[in-house]
Amino acid sequence: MPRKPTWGTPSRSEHYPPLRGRWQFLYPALIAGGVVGLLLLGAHLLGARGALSPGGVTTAHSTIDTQCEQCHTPRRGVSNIRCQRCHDPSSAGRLTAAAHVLFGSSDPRKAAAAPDLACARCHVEHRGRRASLDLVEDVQCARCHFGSLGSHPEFAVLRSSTRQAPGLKFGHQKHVEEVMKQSGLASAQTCLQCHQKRPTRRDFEPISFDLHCASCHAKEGSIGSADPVPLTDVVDLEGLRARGVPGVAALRPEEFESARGKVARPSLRHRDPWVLFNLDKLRAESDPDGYTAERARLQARIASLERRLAAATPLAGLDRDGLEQRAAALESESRGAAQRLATLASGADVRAGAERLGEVEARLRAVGDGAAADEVARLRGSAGASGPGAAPLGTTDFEARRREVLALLDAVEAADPALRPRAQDLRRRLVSLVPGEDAADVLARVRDQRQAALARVHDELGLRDQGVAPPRAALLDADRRELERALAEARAQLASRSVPAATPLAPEEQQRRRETANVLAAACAKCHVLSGAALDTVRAARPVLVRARFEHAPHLLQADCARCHAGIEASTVSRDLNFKGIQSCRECHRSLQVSQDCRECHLFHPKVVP
Amino acid sequence: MGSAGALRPKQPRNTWLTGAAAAVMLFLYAVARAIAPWSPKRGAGLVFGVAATVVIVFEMAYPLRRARARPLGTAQRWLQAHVYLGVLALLAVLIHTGFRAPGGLMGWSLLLLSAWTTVTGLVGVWLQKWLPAVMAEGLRVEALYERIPALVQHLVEEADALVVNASDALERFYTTEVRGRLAAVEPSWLYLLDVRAGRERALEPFRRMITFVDPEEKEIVNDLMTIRMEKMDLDVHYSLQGVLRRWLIVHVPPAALLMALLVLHILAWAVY
Repeated sequence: MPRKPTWGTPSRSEHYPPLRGRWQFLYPALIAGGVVGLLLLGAHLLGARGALSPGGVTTAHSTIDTQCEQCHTPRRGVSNIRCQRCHDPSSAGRLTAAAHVLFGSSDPRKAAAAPDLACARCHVEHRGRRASLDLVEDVQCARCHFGSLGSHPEFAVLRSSTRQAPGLKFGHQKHVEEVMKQSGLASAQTCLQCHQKRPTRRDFEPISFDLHCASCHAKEGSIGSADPVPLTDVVDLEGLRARGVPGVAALRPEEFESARGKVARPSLRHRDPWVLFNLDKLRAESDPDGYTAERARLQARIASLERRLAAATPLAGLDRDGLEQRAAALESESRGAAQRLATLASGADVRAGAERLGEVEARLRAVGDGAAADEVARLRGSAGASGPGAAPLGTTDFEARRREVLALLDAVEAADPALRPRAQDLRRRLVSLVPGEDAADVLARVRDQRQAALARVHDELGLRDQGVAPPRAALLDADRRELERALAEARAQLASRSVPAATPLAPEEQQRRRETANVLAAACAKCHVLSGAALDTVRAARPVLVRARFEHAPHLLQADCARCHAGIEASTVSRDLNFKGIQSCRECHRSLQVSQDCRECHLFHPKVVP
Repeated sequence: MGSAGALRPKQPRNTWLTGAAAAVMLFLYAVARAIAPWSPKRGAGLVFGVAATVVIVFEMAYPLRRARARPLGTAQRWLQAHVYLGVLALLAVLIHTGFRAPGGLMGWSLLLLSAWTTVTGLVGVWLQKWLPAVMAEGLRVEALYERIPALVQHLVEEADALVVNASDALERFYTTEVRGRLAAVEPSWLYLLDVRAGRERALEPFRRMITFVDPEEKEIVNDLMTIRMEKMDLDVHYSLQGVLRRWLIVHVPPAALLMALLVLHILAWAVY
């Protein structure tokens, strides 16, 4: 009988076959996974930090890639202080959201109310060596600003009805026609005759008289003449030499014509030291308040820059004692500001001030100075009225008071040079005051600044305890260079306003000084704008966009000048920007064609020196 | 059931639900992305990371379904949840990263292990549906994987008994050409392509032999041929059931490694 083919299960087994174990894969897998995890954790604890890192850091940070403590604080994440430690070594506080708001709005109150923003929110690390920390997404900007280039508002410089004049009487029309006549170029090709590319080819060299204007506006070095002006109003050559005015050595006596108590110059050079010094003198005499305020601003800027330069010692460069001393000083300042805030809130300082004025009044009456005592009584009355909650001064009154105090500080400094540092400090504080801002705002700002600085010192002390290496002092070099450059510039500007404070003149005398200035600067006024007795600052070479960067070079590869500056050849006023505004940007920066990213043009962080 | 049929979901409702959940997740991602920059460390990015972790932990609890999960549903329901939530977990991981390539070894390891575990899981689901159907259609014999070696041994014994009193020619034929192929299980990857692969070639010697033997021995040759076919069925079973068992090697250990790295990832996030 043939064998029967099997269908289905061949036969019953005599016993249950041993089935595969339930945990055959799981247990070994879990054990293997656990072992791998423990190995990685052990490697991390032994210093091989890359094991747990979600990704490599950028090339610039690669030297601290495995030093997590440089940026991370256990259980607190990445604090801004750690970024500022290297990127804001001069402790300027320019990398905070408040600094950004101040940069954009110039309003300290808005800045004080700015929300805290973590650096790491925009600058995302651990995306690999080739990632860029600058690639900030537009949505981050859109949280406070507009959402796209399509809704970008017009540039402030075009929106503003009070556009700042560039300080020159200049019309493109005449100059374009002249260049066309001389060079035979078409209108569209004339621009680059004056607007010459920098060697770096990113943008243009600033327009310079010697390079661009002198060929037409100076004959054999002379820009014109100065008619006779009274010697009583101006300083002659001898006087300039006696004062050591810079550049005076180039002047020769034969260039001066003196007769009947007047002096004239048949030939003037550009930036003539005699004219500039005397204009400065006439300005000081005809507008002493304005001159003092201008000088005070420069002095305050110098004081501020000097203070920053002095404070620009990176914390990492201080030893433990130095850090503790700085912490103690900051704690003291912070506590002081807080106490003064509390006093201010209670109104005690107003009462104390009134009492003090009462003492002064009594003393003045005792010595028989009734007029002064009455003045103090009036002041006491007004101080009592302007207690907490009183309306702040209007801008005009505020500026008048400021000028008054600045002039007083000048007088104090001149009377006692030993008081110069204190006067400088007060001047700096006075200039930084904003109309409408009350003492509480200022004190709160000071307190917050000191506390932020204190937090940095404490963090540095903590890092020392952990043995974390300090960043290299060389990181500060760029900041220092910027500060020193700005300081030298401010000092040079102050030196050019070197006329000492004089007894105020009568109004008719002041008017006469202004008329003398008009005569003296007649040759200058062919191109420069003369306001009162002063030449306006020339701003032609300053960038129009202050919170954005624009480079002409790459744009000129795509289009000619007229594409954005249409009608420039017909412009007759220097105030004209001849610029179509944001619309001309939108013409090319369309989506999917040319980048529309905010960071393409805009700066978030202010520069080291604003 | 063909390979296309194996792709058909057992419970289409779950497929639709998963698709809808994925669409919602992507929509939420798009909204969150439009509101704020995407960061895996905060906001919606963190929420998706936590969600992915929770689901992955649930996925790892799948082996508990037999012992302790009865109150939570049947084994089939657990499997459905394991499969569909696994797919959603991978999507949550991708959203957590903001669909960006990771920057380092740990990030890549987590992403690739997530993807690998999910893909191997889906391949496993497909194999579980396709291979039994193919075996049922193409084979005559059914056998438990663990019993196959014993059954093969049984076939050898049966074949040996058949040729005890056979002629020299038949015995020589059996010894040289048949017994060796019956003696041990012969698994082959070829059976994944065709469950009847090599069958005609294997039977050819029997058909040739049957013309040489006496009429009374023809029946023995036929029996040996039947035994050989059963043995080949068992080989196919052993091969394909082996695949069904062993695909877990490429699924479970990477999943365990993923879990270990995930713990470290969370630890690093919490500490730093």
